Amino acid sequence: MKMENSESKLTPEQSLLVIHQTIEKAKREVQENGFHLLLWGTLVVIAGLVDFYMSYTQGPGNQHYAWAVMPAIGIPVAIIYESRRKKTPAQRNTIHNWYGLVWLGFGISLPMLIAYTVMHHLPPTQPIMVVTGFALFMSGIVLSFRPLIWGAAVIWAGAVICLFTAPNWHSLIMAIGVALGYLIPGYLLQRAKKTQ
Amino acid sequence: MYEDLDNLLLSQLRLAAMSYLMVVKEADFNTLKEQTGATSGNLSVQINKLQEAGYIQVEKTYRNNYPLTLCQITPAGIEAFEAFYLRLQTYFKEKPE
Repeated sequence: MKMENSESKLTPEQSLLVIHQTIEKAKREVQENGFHLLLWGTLVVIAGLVDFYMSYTQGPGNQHYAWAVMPAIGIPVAIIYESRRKKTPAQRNTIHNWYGLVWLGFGISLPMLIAYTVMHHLPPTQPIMVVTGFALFMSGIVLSFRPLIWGAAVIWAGAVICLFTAPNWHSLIMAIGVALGYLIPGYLLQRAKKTQ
Repeated sequence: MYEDLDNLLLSQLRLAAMSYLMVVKEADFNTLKEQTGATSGNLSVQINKLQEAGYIQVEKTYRNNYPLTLCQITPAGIEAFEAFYLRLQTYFKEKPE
């Protein structure tokens, strides 16, 4: 609708149209660009494949170090990216706050979960996939971006498969699940942002 | 029913500004101008009306030595917007086909 005469009284139909158009436009503008999904997705896929390859060729041993390298690369890159990202007042919005809070909750839960499984000698991959799927699902809801919800479904499906497979296959299942559940929605999010 | 709707929000520019501020927590004057497609003078007048009604809070500050006007929706504004939206929905439900 053109903003021609702001003082003329709107009809209910026009009011609804103004609300929907403005909110949809605003939501698209504040959409995340998928950088973090692509970053962490790539790192998880690489770590998962290295873990699987090493355990397959060398047997159980030091392959878990592949996972330790992941945050050592990912955290500094994420911090540098966020500090360089242009922040305008319009970007301080409810959607970003909720999106950030979802992943903050995930970031707090994950080390506790890993610590618990390590202390009790349990394979960590399956529960990690469960909480990852949940964080992805919530992100999809918050951003109103359906590919993220499908990504969560793929990761949850991987978690279910892990229940019926030997632990040495879990890292490969995780790598495939994350490639489909993180990287594809991350790429689509980036494409959606670029086409705005 | 139509008469029950908040008159202040039955203006295209004020409603667009309020809708935008419902999504973003805070927006500067230029962003609002860009979002609503309004002229500076017209937007300024409508922002004042929303501020007088207590629907938005306006803060005048500086960024990099340039004046910056920040608008933020208030709890009263959120309540008014939600009530307006609910009344609109009721209107459409009760409207004869």
